[in-house]
Amino acid sequence: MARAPSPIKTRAPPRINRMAQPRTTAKNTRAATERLKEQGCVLAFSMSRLHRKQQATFAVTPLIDFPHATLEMPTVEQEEATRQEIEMPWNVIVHNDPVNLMSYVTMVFQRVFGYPRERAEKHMLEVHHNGRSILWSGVRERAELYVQQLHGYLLLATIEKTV
Amino acid sequence: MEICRQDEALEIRELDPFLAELLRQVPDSAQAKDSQAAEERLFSAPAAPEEKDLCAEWKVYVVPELRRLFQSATETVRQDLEQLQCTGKPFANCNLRIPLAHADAWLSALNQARLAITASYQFSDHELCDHYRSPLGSRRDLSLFQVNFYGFLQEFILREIEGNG
Repeated sequence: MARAPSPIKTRAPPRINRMAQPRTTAKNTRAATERLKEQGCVLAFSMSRLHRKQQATFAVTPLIDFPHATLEMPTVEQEEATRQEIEMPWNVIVHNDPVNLMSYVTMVFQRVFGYPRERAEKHMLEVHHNGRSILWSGVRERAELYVQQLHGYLLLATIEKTV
Repeated sequence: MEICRQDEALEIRELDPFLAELLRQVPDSAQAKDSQAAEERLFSAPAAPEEKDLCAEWKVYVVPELRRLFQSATETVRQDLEQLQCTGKPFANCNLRIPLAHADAWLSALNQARLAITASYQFSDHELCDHYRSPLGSRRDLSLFQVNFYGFLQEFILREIEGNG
């Protein structure tokens, strides 16, 4: 009688917070060091804004000294947001207000989101009857851009994380 | 008063002095001035108050852009309104020509004015639906009439834009 194969025990791979990793790998650093060593240069890393929320600042720590060059190794100083937080969809919501005309709101939805008239009217009526409507969902930066455009048309618009 | 489309412009003919004066007030009414309520409505928050970072960044980076955008629209309207400097009889009716290219600026300025006035006076929904209230009586009644008159103009401009599009 054959035995049922024992379940293979697997370990979940360690979770790596990729956002905390500087893009410079050790391999690249070594190669760069070699090149610089040949050229006798001094290298210092500085990394500009990656993203508003994933700003990685590199502090300098002297690591290698040789006669004509010093390589300074980057160390991550701060990390504000995780990838999950950045990639989580955000909703663009328009709220009802008693002043903006219905025809105006419909026109704005058509212009900002490129929606056909029927869809724009559907959202406008949703705002009118339910007090709010989700106009778009997606990445945060684009959602912010849409809200900025909607504010430019003086609509009451906000972004919020999807639940 | 008569409004019609004339080539690439909207023409308001036989504008009586009272309505002409209300139109002259569009650029000034569009400013939040000292009204905190109007300021908050024109530059509303982009997210719930819990999103403190986003709201703070918005004030620094986006609000100045919006302010410039709104200012630019009211300046265009102000220039168009110079036509209302009637040089003839003091209480004569005037004509106003709004180029279609300025339609967006007019929509924005009229909207700014309507929102700012409504926020300043805190008109209720019921008041805003009262289209038959006389403008004579109090400053509040006049302002409500102003909101409705500007809304009527907005509606007409929108119809013409859509007809054009």
